[in-house]
Amino acid sequence: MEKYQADVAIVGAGGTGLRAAIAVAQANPKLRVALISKVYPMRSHTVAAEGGAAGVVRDDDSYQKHFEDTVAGGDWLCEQDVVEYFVRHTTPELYQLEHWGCPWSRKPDGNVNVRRFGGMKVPRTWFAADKSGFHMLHTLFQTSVQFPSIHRFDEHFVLDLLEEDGVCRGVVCYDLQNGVFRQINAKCVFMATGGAGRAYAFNTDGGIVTGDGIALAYRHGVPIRDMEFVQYHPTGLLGCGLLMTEGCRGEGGVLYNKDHYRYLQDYGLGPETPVGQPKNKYMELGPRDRLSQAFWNESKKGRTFKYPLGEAVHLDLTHLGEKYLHERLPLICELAMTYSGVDPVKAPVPVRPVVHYTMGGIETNGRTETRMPGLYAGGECASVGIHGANRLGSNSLVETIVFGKMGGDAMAERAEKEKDFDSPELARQAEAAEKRALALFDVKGDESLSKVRDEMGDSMEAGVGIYREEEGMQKTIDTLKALKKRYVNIPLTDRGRIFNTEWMNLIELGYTLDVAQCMVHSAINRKESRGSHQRLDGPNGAYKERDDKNFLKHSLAIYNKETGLPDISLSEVKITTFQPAKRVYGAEADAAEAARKAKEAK
Amino acid sequence: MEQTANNKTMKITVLRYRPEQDDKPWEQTFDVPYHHETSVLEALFYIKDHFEPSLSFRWSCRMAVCGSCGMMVNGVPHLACKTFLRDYEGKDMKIEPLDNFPIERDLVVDLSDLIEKIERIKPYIIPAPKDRNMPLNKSYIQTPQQMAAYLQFAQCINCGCCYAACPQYKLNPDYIGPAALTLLYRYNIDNRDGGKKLRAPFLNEENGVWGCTFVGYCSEVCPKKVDPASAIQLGKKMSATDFVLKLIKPEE
Amino acid sequence: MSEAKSFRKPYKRPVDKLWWLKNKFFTVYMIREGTAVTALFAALEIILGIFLFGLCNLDAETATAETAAPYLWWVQDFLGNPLVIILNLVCLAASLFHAVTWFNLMPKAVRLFMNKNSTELLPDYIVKMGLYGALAGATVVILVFAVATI
Repeated sequence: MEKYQADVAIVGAGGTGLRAAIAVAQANPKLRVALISKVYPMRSHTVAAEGGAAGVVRDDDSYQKHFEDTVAGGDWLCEQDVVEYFVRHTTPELYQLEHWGCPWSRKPDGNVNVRRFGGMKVPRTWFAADKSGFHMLHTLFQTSVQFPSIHRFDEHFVLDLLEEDGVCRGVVCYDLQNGVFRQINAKCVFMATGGAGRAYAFNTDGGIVTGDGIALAYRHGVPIRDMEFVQYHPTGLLGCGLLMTEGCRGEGGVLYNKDHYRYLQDYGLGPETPVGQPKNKYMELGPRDRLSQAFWNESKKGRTFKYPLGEAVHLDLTHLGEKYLHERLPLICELAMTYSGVDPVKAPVPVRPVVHYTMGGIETNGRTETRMPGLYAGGECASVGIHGANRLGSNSLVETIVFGKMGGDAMAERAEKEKDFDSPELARQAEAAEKRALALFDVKGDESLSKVRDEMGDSMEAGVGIYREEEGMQKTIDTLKALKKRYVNIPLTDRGRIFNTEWMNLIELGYTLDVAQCMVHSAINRKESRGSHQRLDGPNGAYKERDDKNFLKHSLAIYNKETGLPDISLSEVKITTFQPAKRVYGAEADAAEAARKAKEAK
Repeated sequence: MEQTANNKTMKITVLRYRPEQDDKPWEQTFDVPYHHETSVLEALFYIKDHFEPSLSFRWSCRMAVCGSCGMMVNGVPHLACKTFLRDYEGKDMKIEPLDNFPIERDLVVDLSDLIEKIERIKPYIIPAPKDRNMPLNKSYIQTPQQMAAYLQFAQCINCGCCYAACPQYKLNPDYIGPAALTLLYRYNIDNRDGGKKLRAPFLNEENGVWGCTFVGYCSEVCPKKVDPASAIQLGKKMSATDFVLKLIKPEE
Repeated sequence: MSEAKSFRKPYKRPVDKLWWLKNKFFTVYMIREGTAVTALFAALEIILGIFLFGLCNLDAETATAETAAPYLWWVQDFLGNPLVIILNLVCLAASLFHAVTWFNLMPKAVRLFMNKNSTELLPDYIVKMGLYGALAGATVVILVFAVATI
């Protein structure tokens, strides 16, 4: 097998991976960076992010406010020391991207403009129209090409981590274009593989968002944290699930049910704000979990629109006018026209909640280090601790660059200290991974890849959706167990080595099944409601409430080799200055804030 | 997405090529059920899931922004995810890999030439000397108009449709081509950039903007309305102006 | 990347000599390029006229049919030949075709903002109107000049 000796191997070339690669290259141009991605970097799903990235710039804003919004938005399940670091480093990173060419939208005077976003007290979301992720990703990719020390392995699919004496030493991958395997040795391996939205049938994600990195770390015994927290974005296009950015609401879009009633006021987000005058943390600018839950309840009350493609509410942008919409939300207009046949300038867009983001991921400390020496993680595949039980919109794009940079710096430091390492054991592991992959060609069964995949997606929607119950979750646990048994009987019809997407999809499905198990096992163990994890059951409905006494804790899913299932345990949450309180929005939040200030004044 | 009621079917022919088995491409035809919302990409999903799991094609985002699924639909370069069967009603459909690129496998082409050209033209801000140590607590001043000057040319998703539409690239693979030249021009006119001189060799060379004969089809097929033909003609103006200026005022 | 081993065998599609007939857009483009041939004919035609004009006895006191014989041949026999008339009509049609298709593309080479602060571009139709205006103006000037010299 061909071997490549690197200092740093980065798996995934989206926002986080590219930012990390640049950070390493800038820290020390002598370090050899292997940037490995199963697609060309600009295909990474960062590209689809729309709304923007949060960074404090306004005079009426402060790090403290961003910190409080984030921790409260995450229902206090955030690592507060990490959030403190995070909010202080967002703005410099966003300026850095500006210097690299990112076309952040401007004010008439030529300075960067910001927009409102859900759950944020002050407008602080930097945006490049509604293609923020696209522009960030292309800026990072294009910037990265000037560093000769970054050696890209495009369209290389990672099959396994290499590990000796508990230290991560590299990866083994399959080169899709050449049809060969490669062993890449490295002193540090950085997972930047994105989320796992494809575990669900109805999601905003690209086909590549299959949780590969999470599964790879999980299989090596690295704890996977807070996987039960899966974000439903409240406004996905009906049918295809494509994202209608929160920026729509940030710019003043409103949600109506079938009675033309702004139903969010019934769910602790009111009182109603006048159309065209959005108010931070009120109504449509509430957090995503609350809005998605409101939809679910409207549906139960029979107050949603019924379309042939399913139930929906209406996202109305018509009052914003053509000129403004085309300037601020051009992609939204294009997507709604193309995929829904609705022109947002003229008519409201039918939307519904859709799986969007994996809050949890590979457990890391504030320096992106996992518990396995040499293995780092950042971005959506990681749980660095800033999102807690619910991520605020525009915190994740900026997470990619803040923790990409942090990871890059941390790895450069380690790589300078460590010596190159190679051993027969690593070669043995690489060959074993190759054999395992090739063995899939020998399977003689009658299962179907697409059936197993679709049943997994439906089962996840049914069991671990917006609201959850023990019985439903147990059913999903059983289904996944059965699907894993069926998985090993899926035969391959494609015998080729070049661009064998059937083969790759099969391995990806194996990853996603593992991640799905982490999600549902973590969920059934969390006997409370917090953020995006909402339960309807428990003795006398006890699990409907947040239970700080027992569950102000992270969930950890650790792979059990015997059972092949995750063992779930709990770990402490770091609380520094912001004590848990009731999570409130709308007028209630203002009242609580006033009460707190009055108390402090005394 | 599963098919809903009101199903119709379309005859779809796909060009197949399996490098380890085939000497040259061949055609395979499928009857694919569709409804009003079915995209070409979803038709390919259907074929892969129900008829031919070995059919290979690139895709990811489904929303016309990742640039993976460029392919020829009835001879015209399109993004599969942004092209709908309803617009071909009553006709047959033929799907082929993007023209002008070598076929790697089925609908997957070898894009390495495009990627190399994008990398070659220095697609990043090269700050002017005075801006080299800009602190990370402020941005460049860039007015909305200064941004509008290049923003359209920064919308390219690198799907390769323009190269498949370019007869010059077909006849001369050394031609730098629409997407890369557009990107070059995009950085040259960004007021934050000071690297025009370093990109001049690529702009001015025979395979740079002067390799274009203004066919204009690249702009016609661009799924993001980037208008590479415009960027290239403007690039010719820039190149010609530089040439004249150099004659008047030669510099070291 | 250096390949120790690869299973690749990319297929390069041969370039069909008639590629420009496969797509209407290319065909129109090739016709536009083809108008160069008619433009060449028109140019040669005018050069021939000038050459023959030079052959005339320009020192003669008055122009007679005899002294201007070569030029008169060009005007009467050559330009009056039905075949040449048809060719010239083809040339006229071709140059108009070239003008129309070229003018349709030209706005791409013009990128001006409406005013100092606007982010709106000068609309295409204004550029086109300018071009058609220039075409009409040039035609009128040439016609006036031609009529005046008769």
